[in-house]
Amino acid sequence: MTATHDLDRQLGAWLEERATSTPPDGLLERSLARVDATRQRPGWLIRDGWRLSSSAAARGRAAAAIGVAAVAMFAVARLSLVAPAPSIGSPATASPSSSPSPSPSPSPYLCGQGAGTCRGSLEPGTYTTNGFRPELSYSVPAGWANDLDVNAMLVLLDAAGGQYRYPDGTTFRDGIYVYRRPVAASATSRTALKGIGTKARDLAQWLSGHADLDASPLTTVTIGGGKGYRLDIALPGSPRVSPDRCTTDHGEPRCESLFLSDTPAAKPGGPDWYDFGIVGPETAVIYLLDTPSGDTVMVVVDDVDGVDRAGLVAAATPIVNSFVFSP
Amino acid sequence: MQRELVERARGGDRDAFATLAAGSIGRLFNIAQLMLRDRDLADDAVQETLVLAWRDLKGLRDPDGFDAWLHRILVRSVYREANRERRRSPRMVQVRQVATTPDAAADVEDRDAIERGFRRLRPEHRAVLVLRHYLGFSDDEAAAALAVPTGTIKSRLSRATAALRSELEADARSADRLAMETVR
Repeated sequence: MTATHDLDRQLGAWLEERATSTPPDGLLERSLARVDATRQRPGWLIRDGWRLSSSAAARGRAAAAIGVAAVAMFAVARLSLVAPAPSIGSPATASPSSSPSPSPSPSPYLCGQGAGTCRGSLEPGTYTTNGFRPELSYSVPAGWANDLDVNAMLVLLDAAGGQYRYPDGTTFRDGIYVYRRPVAASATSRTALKGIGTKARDLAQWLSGHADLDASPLTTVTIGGGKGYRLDIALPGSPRVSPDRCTTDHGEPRCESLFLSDTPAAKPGGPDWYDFGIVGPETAVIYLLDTPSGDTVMVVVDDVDGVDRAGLVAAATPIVNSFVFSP
Repeated sequence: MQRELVERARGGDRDAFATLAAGSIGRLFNIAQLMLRDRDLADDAVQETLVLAWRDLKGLRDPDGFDAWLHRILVRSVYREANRERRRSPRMVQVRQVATTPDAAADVEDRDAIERGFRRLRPEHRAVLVLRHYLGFSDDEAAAALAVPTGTIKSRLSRATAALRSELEADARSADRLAMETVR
């Protein structure tokens, strides 16, 4: 039977055989009609765009990608640097359930690197957070992985998403990043900015008016019992004038420090600690929500490489809309 | 030639983009159909790919990277179609039985078994197998198309091959059981 044959050879031959069909009549015309109805996005909106644009560049970057995984922008870099890249789409380590289910060790996900529990590659279904508080349920289709689930952070990665590698080697991936109790951060020191409140409205208004960001107007949202605001952010095309500690932290000339963790359990360098900012070509949809538990929660749909923001947002928005926060 | 067309299309020249699309559409459709095993879904994925490519072409910094960039957009579109398909009810897979000689019968059985096994794979496993075994992509090229690290390609390819082998073995066991029941 087939299993005893050279599977690779047989598969190659089978694919060749099946690939002889011609495109359906009119496919080109239908496609171009849709193209005619589509406007090109301006370059500034797409940012630096495609980062793996040539095979040589891809080879160089891939070789340099030493198997680090993203947590969120330049958050918790200590963890990012030790965790190998997750293989999203590999067999799930947990089926949908509401009970804690730590990944087996060694795990390709951050949670397996001494940073709490998570579920790894997710089968389609509804899940409840193990570590993140307030407890949060979410539903995902195929192609998503839970990379981290600790008291102050939940990370869901998109299998079809891109990644971005900073000059210092830290690599992040497209996905949904959820943060508990963010506070506005100083650009020059790892401390909270004085005079900015911690409710969703305070943080959203501060972000919307931030001088070093391209930010959209605020819209009000209600998600899973949380009420607050949504806005889009990106870095302006011009290099920043005022200093920011992120340039020295990660060697990235275009960046902006934005939020720090204010979770009581968070200690700098620990698994609940985050230091959130935006870097290079990255664009993000930010939701700031006051949840029924009294915590402020920030949800970030993060297109780290700025390649396909629309695709990521289309894939991530139903997941965000499925969120339900426990009181 | 292609570089010039890409540069013109990036500047908003729709005719140049139409020429690029015409030159790519057969390959894109083949890849999408192999990954999705469905002509209608492949049709949708290709349309979506070309629309996204046009929309975001100004974000492509290196015109020589157009093909790799297009592959990446296609893979994302394929995933989206595959997810959409999963939400619908599963369809029966009909397999033609046309064998006339023992050798040919075995060959057809093998090919049909691969067809059934391949359809049951996860979309990301089908994608990596098509990139490697149909397009002949290296690990680096596949990593660029799938937007994952090279190490992930190696492990994903290994898992995909193992999953296919497992499906084929299950298929063979099922056929054996059927044969035994027929004999009894």
